[in-house]
Amino acid sequence: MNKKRITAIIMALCVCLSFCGAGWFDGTKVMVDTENNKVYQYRTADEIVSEFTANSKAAKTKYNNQPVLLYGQVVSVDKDGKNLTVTGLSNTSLTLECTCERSLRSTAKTYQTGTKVALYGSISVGLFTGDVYFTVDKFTALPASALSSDMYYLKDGTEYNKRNATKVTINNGGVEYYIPSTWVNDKIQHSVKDENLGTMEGYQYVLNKLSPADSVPESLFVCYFDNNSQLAFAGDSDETKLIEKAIVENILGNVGIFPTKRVMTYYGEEYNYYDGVFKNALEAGDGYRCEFIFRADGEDGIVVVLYVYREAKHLKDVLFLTRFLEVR
Amino acid sequence: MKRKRVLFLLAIAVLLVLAGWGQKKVELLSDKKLIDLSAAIGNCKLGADDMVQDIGKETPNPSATPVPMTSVTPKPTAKPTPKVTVTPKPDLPAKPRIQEIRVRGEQITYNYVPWPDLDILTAQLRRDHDERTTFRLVDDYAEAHVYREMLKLLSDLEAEIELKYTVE
Repeated sequence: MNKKRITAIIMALCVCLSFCGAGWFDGTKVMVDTENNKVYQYRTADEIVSEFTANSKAAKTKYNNQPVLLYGQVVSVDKDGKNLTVTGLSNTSLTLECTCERSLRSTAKTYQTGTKVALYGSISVGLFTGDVYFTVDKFTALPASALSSDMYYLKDGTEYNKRNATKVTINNGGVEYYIPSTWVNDKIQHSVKDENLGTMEGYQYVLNKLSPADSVPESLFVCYFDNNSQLAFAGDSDETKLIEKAIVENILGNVGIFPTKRVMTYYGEEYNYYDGVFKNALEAGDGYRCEFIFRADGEDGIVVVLYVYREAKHLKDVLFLTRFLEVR
Repeated sequence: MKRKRVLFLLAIAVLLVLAGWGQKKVELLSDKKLIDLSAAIGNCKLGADDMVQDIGKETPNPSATPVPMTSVTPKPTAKPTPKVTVTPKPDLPAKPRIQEIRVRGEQITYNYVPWPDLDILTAQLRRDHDERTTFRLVDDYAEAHVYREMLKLLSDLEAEIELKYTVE
């Protein structure tokens, strides 16, 4: 096959795919990116050490591969800063072997035996030895708010107090998620069904009206698509991807050819992700970016989290909400 | 030549299959919008009461307060809001609202945000007070003198402006 023929086929492929709304060449960054925006739970080394000492199997199930903001004291540091050993401030019966990548080693070397240290990273447990390891993502100063395991943090220090958040349930308690208490008012929270914003059970959160109010619309929706009451044919209830496509087509009016992206999260959940655009017929401009997260509820339904924005100013709130959403 | 024609048609067919032609479709029971984004975006447009709420709002001393969870948003632009037909919301009775004040140790938090200055917190409570709002004071291993001070503040506001509060 000569070069001209190959070039012609590739061009034909590109043209065909572009007519079908393909996003292969779309370099738009995923904003609701749970994998690159891990939520770290604050834990002291004393707590980790106590749990592993008391019941190592249960502690392994709880902590293995989980991101943690760890607070403890340094036992020793390698000469090159690659390895740091940390233990509890009061409970020193177990140590955690912390590994630092090259860019963190010069910081690691500044720590001495007995000094307190706060580390973003993730715990892993040796398969055969049961030793507890910690891969360091970042050194940090301990935040003033780090008082209990109700505190969670993004790596940039943005904090979230789960205890102060308000729990919301939909689908008769089958879906549970948490919102900041500042969202619990009529200006922000709107029932989709009751206020004639759609036919799904759930809520719209008008994020741009959080204080101070902003004129650029930004909304988050958390809704439940009930297969039993919203599908034309009950036999389609196991066709999750096609249902998701139908949902997107209904809401946006169009959908590209490619399937949703499957995401397996570090916290043990999985969801399908779709990225689209909504152009409001009543407004000029490029429209609103729409990021969908679909969490399947078996064959009963799908939880639809939809983030609609021009500027993702409340992205961190969306990330926390997504992290703690549970389908029971 | 015939072989080339067949190959060409096969390539077109493969491309069409990739494009999703002939793929099974799932039908929804109704054509109504699952989420009507046009109407929902209408909810996002600022009304007169959204502007009034911002006037005179004070923020806590930034040097003493950690960054709250919600992002800082820039001031609204001067661009005029385009005229949009908004789907009128049904008249709903005002929902009762509970605002939490939590005292933990010596720290006071109001709706999650720490407030180191009692005078500024008092001003905020006066602004947030209305008929449907009840303030809930929570003792979360509070230092006794701080808790008593907060309780006195609420009691004074109850006498002055009929602010409603409960203790937990």
